[in-house]
Amino acid sequence: MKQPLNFLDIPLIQKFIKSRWYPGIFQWAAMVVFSIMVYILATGTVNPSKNFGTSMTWVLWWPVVPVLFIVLGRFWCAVCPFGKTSDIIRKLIGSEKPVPKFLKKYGLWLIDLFFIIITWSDHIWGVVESPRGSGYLLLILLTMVVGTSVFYERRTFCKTLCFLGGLAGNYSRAGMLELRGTPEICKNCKTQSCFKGNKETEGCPMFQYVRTMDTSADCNLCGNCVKSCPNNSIRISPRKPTSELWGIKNPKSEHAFLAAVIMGIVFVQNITMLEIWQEILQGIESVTGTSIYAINFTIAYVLSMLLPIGLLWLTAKITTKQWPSTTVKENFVRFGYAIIPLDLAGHLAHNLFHILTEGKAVWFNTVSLFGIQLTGDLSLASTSTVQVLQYLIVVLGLVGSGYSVYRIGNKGSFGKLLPYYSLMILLAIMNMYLFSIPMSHRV
Amino acid sequence: MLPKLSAIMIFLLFFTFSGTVGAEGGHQHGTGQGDSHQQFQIPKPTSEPMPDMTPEEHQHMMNQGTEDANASSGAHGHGQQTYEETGPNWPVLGTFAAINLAFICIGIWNKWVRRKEVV
Repeated sequence: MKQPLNFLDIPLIQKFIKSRWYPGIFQWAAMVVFSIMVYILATGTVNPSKNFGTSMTWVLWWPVVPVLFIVLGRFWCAVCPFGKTSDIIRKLIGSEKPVPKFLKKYGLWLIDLFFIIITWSDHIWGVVESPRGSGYLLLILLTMVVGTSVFYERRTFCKTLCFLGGLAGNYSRAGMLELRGTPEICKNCKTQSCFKGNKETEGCPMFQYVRTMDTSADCNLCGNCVKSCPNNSIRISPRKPTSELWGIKNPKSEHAFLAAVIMGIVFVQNITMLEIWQEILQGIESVTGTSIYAINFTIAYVLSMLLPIGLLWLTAKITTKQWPSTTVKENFVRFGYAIIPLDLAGHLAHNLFHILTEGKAVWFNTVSLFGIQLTGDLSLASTSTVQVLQYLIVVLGLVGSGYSVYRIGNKGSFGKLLPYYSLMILLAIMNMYLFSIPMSHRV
Repeated sequence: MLPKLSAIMIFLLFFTFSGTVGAEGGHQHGTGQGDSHQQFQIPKPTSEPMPDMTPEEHQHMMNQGTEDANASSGAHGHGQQTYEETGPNWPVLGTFAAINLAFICIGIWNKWVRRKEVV
């Protein structure tokens, strides 16, 4: 069988990844920018459109990071300032204790829970709109990183608690890059240095053993295994986007749940930025009889999340009747992964609006750090252009999800997989409808 | 024992600070008597008339809300809203610093002091 391209066969790339400059050069650059951002978020102007930290975090970083997950897998996690902080703390004062069993067992559920809580907090307390709120959110995460790194080994926080890590893991499954071992070489390996590390290099910070690794969800592309492998077994290769979703050996309900929850969160992020949001709130108010925003929003939020979960469960229930040898849970979990491309598309399309209609805020606020005051239209593209691009992205996501259904369903007939195709089309239509309505800005 | 305690501490920290943030943000939703120390939430327009408002005043308020919304959503009128500039909230930042410092001290204790005792 023809081996796919291995980027490590390119001497320059191999030399760079094996050098001490990788990923340090990126980590320190990100650390410097991150420090400035946190400082300005916590102490700078409270006007989000003028705050460098707000524009860097929510107009630039948040929209760009899903693109990185598609193109480079979890490379961001190798660069992440929180991860670097964890590395430094562990090196200097870490106790390196094993990860508690509770975190090992329920870590992914905690990530799901944190993601839901953080999004809820954002809407209740306006974290995104508030530089101070964004600053405190980053400081809370930083404190959790410091707390876990002082006690536990490797990147316990990234693996079991980081909400972005959960998102990164799910999205990276659909990504275009994979790091794997060469089976013929790995089967004769006695050192296991990719997992354990060696004198010069720490073992895999994400607890992965390359020999058996069959997913990109937990690989940060930090290059530790490339540096430590004595047999040059590691390969970094391009792959077809979404291909990992087609044959997951050990599908987990927490992953499928997160995939459905992300869809719900994208819905709620869209809905609350639409001009019809006030009408929806008024509708909920008329049912609850209270104008307390927290209550009414929570109801909308729960319903938004239950919708894709419920639809996925219903589809699983329908198909279980057609396929008596399977269970509802089994189908829910297996086909839940097929939602990931649509999640990515919804997330990207939503944030495309922000980066293209508010993008200049990043530039204006960056130069303002050097005393240059620029003002003017913040948009890089017209709303109609953005809308066309949003539709295209959702269609691409639909193609990815539809094809994933086809492959997860073992290339079954159209009729057999029709319920899942219908679900993906319905989710895509719902996304498109939300993108067709005018949306408000972040800064 | 200590790692278990730290795990509990981290969870408590997460929820406590969520609460702190919420309590501060809550000022903005309140009667407006908060010290506006934290500009947390862009006030969301409400359809509920205030108790001492006439129907005309309420209608005017709602129209005003719609105009504001249009101003911020159309023609990229970002940052048109006026913000009362406030300084950093030192008690909150100090609390973060203290907690992180405490973790670091525990780390130093574990790594250097206790290890020397064992040796």
